[in-house]
Amino acid sequence: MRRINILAVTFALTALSLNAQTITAPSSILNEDSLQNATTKPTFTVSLDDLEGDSETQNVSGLLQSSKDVFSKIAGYNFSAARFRVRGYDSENFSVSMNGIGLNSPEGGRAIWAFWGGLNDITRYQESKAGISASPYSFGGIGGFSNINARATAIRKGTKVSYGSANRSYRNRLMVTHSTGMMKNGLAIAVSASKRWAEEGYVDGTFYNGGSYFLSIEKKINDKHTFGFVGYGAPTSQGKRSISTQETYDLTGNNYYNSYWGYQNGEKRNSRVRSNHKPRIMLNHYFKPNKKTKINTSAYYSFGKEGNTRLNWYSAADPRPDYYRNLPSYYTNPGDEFLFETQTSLWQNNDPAATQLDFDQMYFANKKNLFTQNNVDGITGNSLTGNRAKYVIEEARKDVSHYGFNTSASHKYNDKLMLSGAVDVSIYKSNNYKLMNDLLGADFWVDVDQFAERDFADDNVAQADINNPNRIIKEGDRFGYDYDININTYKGFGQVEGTSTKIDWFAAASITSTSFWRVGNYQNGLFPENSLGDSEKQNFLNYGVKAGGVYKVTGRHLIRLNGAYLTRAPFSRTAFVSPRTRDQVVPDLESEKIMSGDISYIVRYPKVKTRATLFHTTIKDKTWSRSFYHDELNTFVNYMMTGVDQVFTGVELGAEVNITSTITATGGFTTGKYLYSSRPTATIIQDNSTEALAENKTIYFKNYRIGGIPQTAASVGVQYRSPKYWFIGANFNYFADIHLDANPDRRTEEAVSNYVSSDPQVDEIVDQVKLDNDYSLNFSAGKSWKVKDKYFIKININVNNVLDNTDFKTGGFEQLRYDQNDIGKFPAKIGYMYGRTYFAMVSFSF
Amino acid sequence: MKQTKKILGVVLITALAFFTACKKDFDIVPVKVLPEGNIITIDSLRKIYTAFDTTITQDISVYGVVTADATTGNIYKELYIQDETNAIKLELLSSADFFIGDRVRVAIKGATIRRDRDMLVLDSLNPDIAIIKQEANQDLTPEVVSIDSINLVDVWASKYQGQLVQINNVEFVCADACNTWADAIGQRDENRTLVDAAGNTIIVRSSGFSSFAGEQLPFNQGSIIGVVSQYGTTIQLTIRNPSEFIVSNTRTTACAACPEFSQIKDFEDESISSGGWSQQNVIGNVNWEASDQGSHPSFYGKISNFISSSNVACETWLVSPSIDLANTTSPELFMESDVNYSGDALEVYVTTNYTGDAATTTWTQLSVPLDTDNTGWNTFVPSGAVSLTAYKQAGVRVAFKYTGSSSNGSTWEIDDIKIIDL
Repeated sequence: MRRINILAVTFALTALSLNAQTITAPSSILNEDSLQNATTKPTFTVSLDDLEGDSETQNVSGLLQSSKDVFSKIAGYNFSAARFRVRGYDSENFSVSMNGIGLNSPEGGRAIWAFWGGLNDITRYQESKAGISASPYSFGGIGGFSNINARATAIRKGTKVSYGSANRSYRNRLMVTHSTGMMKNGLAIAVSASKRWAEEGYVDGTFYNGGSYFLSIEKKINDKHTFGFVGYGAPTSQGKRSISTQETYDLTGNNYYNSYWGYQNGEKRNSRVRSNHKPRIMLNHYFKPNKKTKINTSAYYSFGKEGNTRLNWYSAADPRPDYYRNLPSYYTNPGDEFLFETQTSLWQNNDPAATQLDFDQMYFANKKNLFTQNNVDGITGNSLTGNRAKYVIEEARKDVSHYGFNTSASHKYNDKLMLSGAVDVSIYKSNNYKLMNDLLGADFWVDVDQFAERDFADDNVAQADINNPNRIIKEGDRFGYDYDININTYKGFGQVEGTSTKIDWFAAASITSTSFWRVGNYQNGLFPENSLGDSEKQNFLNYGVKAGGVYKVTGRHLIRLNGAYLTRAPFSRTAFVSPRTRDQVVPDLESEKIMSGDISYIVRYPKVKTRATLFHTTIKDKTWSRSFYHDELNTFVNYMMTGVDQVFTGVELGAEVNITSTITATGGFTTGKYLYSSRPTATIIQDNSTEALAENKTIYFKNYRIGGIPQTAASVGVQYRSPKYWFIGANFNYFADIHLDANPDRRTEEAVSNYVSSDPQVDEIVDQVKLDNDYSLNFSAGKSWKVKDKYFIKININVNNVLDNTDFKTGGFEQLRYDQNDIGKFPAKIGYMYGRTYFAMVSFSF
Repeated sequence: MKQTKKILGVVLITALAFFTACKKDFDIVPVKVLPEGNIITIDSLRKIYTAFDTTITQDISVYGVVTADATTGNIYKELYIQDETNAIKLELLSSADFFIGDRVRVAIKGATIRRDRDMLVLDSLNPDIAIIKQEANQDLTPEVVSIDSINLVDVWASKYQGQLVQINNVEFVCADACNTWADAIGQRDENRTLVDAAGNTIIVRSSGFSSFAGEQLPFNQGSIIGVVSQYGTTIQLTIRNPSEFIVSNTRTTACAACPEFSQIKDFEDESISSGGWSQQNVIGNVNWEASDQGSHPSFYGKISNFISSSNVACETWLVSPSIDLANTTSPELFMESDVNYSGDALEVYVTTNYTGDAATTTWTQLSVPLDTDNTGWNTFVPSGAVSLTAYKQAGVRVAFKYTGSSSNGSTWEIDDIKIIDL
């Protein structure tokens, strides 16, 4: 009976519910896909791993979990598995920094947590605030900020060794961290290293192999000057998972079906491997000229690579098992019954010949393709005979070189006023190219575009680089495209913070100058005039203002109000229409305008902490782009929209109640409307054609939901914390208002041009699909022991989705490819929440 | 706490108001509206034709259910649609995935109503744009009519032109009763004549490209379903599928029994051994299998000694059941074959004295013209008639001997093995 009462109380509380401060960040859905163009009876396909390759590596739950805010903690621990994004924002609106130096990528605006993955013992020392707030480090985004304190003195003195076992992307984790603390000689040193690995993760064919290292040294010169050095990196490679259509899940009986792997000599091989290693080093100078003033100055350098492999093929059949022509649904017409049954039974039996890639077959094909390439390197009479590759694995590489300088100062003017400011210089360059990863047994590949080769009589047109025509590519060679993106950013910001008995307030302003340009290293045969050398520089001057205050009704009741208006330069990643081949930018490229405000009511009693927040944000003139592989055109197609406006309106409630000294109940609830609010203009470009597939196309996108995320989420939890150093807790979570990410091209006049309003196709093309509401139950427990007053042993376990609900569709997207005469031909791709997963850890510290 | 509750209440009410106010409808993509007056019946559409071919210039549509499609290949780039008032034949610019039972809207602007040898057709339709499926499985029941009522009476077009009809109690005339629906080998269309009890006749015209062209006509009496087409003054029935001829009775007009196929093996049941056929491995263990890979329109028997990337030595026999040719006059063997890759030729044998073991039987080799082009997969080569007149007795068996070596071996595909008494 007692338990029932507790539950009842919990529910009642959730119904009201509240609390303070939020933090977050989202992981954007990995998009791939396709669309269609009305003029050509089109068919576009996309492959999952477009240029958004890094999106899946984001994991911000750590950030959320570190927050002190009840709602943020609940969201961090319980919502992230359902692709929840705080307030619906993309992660570019959350600023992540280390020792005050921004870690968000200048190209796409996102902070990629994988680049410091495995350094959990370090990244836990962070300061996070949600929403608009005062920040001593930078102006920041509207979503909030998080600063990782990597100073050696910030890391708890002692040694910690831990082993974790899991069944998610990796299965094992070993971590060692040691910190000396400040020693008598003024030196503090912290080191950390980890290894995470899995032969196969939760999803078939996904291996994981990640290491990480970290070194922080701090040297105190005197009371005024301290110097610091930080260096870290996390070399990681991992086999990726696909996202596929419901048909493939139904046929294989596996909602985690992965089409990316296949057998080679009886062993599983993943065709899509992500390999990242982006080390960073920084030098810090901490200067305290007097008791009221602090000046921190840093210089940093970051370098390394991001690589993503994928299959490519030349004059050969599409090898992907879930290519639509390889699925039973391609054979549903009368007369195709036999093929339908054959394909169905192969798939239902999970026969790898049908459901997975066949590397042996690709090797076989590559070894039987004797070919003589004439005029190698453009030299007449220079010919080479050998097995020309039909199938290869190529790696899309982004090699980064990023350095910068940052100095921030804060000055306590008096007890009531604090002044702070910073200047920041960032010089970023990425070199983007393709590398031949594996010829799969063939002798060579020729660096020409097969589509251009087919359609143009002039041999030059098909050349990836006219200055090296008919280039023979061997493993390890660069080919296809090669260009640099340069981004120089200069930022300044100033902030005032005041405090009084009734009101705490802050105001801040920033100014940012951004300049980016492309440098082509190849002269592309299709675009000889605008592919080689420097592009025009795109310059943007942006500013932002923000202010906020807390009115203390009493010490226990607070009302908080924040507002911000800022402009943001478009990201270079969305600005170029086809950066792989030319330097053209999207027409009418302009800065985004962001306006955001929130109001919160906060209650803080020792036993009850609640927060309720209303927020409203508009983002105008966003540039949106998706790039995807088109299987029929044999090239990438770039779908871009300008003038994309979005609205985010909603409410957040969080509550934490100490029912007894040992039992705590928590509740969190959020609901919002995250919508597109304009009719953007689309431009559609393919990499290998001078003609646009569409220009100035109006997208009827008003009030379409931002898809792939739950717009409503709720959680109730109870935790028992024993005085004897153990705890146990559980959370029940509910998610609603999840929509599929809509394909903009289906919301155009052209898409329905054949139809009249009464035709059933109109709704099928235009309506946005809402997914089912669903739930999860999470469980956690832990215990710690103190041995001989010196050693601590801790055991933690958490189990997500305890009830093993494997039918929870957490999101998905409509393929950009579609057939307006048969909308069911290219169905949406759907992702499911993992079933029961666990993470258990034992740690030993002294 | 009172204050808390008060403020909480205000917040919740505000939030609620906020959300009710911003219930947002999805954007509306501009889409054409079809005014009621721009929808006409098929009968009205037919009446647009007066004396000249007429191209429709207004934005009008007709709705109808597809009554004949291209699934069996009897019609190609054509559809028949029908509503409560009438029916019409559509001629398409390209083939399209519309099937019997689909209810469609046809946007007829730009199309021409044309009288093609007295058959009224709606011409030049682009199926991707002009035909819009509304729903599937709306199959119409054919109207049961007599041959008499279909025929012309003082008008140029049959009353039932284009419509789906069923005619009961009909049989093919004796001259046709032993024929196939069309000439599958020559791929020529054929007219077959149906007759009813009163002696009225109607032509069933079928395409040589249809999947059933080579099938035997039903010998007995029954009912038939098809759409009514017309060629000048000749009224024709176009069937959708031979399975819609339902045999109900023996013939009214007796005619000579058809020369029976003494033996036929077409592999359509995907079996090598059905019908008493057997295979024997004299050397090795390479076997015949049924397959439909490639462009051949049906199943066939296939054998290859290329197994796991290497050739395997073998000698495999495929032996027919015992055939009684005692009462025949001129028995002939027909078959089709296709070969690829170098190796020994397939050999065809006959015996009248089968021991049950291919290795010990005395066989006589037949000279059968088989495919000789082993450089690729081409079309199956028909053998033509191979006389078995020398074996007009009981207990005859034919057999195919496949030989492969460890260094090479062809892949052989055979189909439609028939012994016919001509």
